[in-house]
Amino acid sequence: MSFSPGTRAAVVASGVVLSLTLAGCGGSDHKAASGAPSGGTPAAKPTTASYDFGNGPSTIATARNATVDIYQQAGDASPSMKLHSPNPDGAPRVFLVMDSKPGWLHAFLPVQPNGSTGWIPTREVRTAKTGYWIQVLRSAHRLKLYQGKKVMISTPAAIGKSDTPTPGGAYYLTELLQPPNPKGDYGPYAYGLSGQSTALTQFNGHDPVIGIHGTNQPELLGTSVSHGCIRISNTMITKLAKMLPLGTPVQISA
Amino acid sequence: MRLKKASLTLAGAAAAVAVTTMAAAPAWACSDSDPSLRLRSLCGKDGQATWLLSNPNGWGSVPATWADNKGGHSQGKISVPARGTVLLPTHATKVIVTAYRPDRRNLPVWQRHGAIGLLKQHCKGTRPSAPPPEKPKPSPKPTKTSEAPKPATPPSGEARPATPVKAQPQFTG
Repeated sequence: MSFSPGTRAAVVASGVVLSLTLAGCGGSDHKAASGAPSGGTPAAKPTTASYDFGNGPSTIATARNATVDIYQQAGDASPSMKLHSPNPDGAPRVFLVMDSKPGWLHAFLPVQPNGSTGWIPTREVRTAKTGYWIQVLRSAHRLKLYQGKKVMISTPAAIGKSDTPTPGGAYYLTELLQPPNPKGDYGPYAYGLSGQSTALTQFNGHDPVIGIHGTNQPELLGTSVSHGCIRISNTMITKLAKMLPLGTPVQISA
Repeated sequence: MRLKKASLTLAGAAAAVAVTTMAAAPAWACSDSDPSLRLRSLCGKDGQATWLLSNPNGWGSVPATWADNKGGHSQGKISVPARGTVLLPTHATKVIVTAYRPDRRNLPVWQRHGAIGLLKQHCKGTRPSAPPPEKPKPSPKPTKTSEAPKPATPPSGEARPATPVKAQPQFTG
């Protein structure tokens, strides 16, 4: 629904390229390479691909109830996974929709491995659309905010260093957190993404979730210094926080 | 609707029959008190048990493997999302789950954080999930037949900016 057939074809075509991209992220690709396990798995193997989010508005699904059932295939009798809403940080559970069938939505999931997808019954979510999407260009150390094909913001960004690189692929914003100290490491706002570091297995005792956030070291913007997160200026993250809905697509490119 | 009924039936006909206990031994230092994975069983309409594995921890996913008493087992590690539940593809009567330490590249076994599920009593086959429907009462006035049913999901509007949650981020930084 949210992606045109042409886009989906491009996604399929880029699948091979994507695998190479992930393998080239450096560090340990243990999680990405391990593939989807047999039990309790999301619907599809990772399809962390290069999507053309500028082709039209994206559909965002938000949980209606305290639990969302995820199915491996549309029409399956039993869910393969249940995700709770709100999420552990207290944000509403959202999903970025890739496709749909009557009664079902095929969506990216905020679970491992990166790029996991699953099917959600439409009755379990409400949907909305956004024309916004973010592109992170790692080689250029730049974050761009688009509305459709129009660049709204282009700003320098710090990305992961060589041993903890920012993983490439298609993700979405899962939560917006406001740290108690706006002058701290994360600045005034921090978005969580649906993906995790492929080099770390945990960070400070938590899943190594990558985020987009502000910084108290603006002089490092434009360099590769982080553990995988994307840092931008506090002014810019504050702007984004006032504009973007949860579920906004994020494409991390080379 | 059909699926909703099915899941209600599952929940109703079910559980009660599973016993969950923890495996033994020491835990990792930084979160000794973290709760273990939890197993519970549901009886399906087909009379077969279905196993659900939950992770009550909010800090992240927990890697795990499982094996049952019919020779079934996971292919590699599965990831149980934070405060999430995964369905194990087995209908066996006994399931053993091993958890792995998320802080050590998922390698060592996370002692005392796995789970064992034992079906005490076999699932019974299909049973009616609800009493037979009553005859519809005659409506005093003729109802409109042209009214379209309301869609389960209302038409999409423009998504609104996110509302920030006041919390300390734990992202990779």
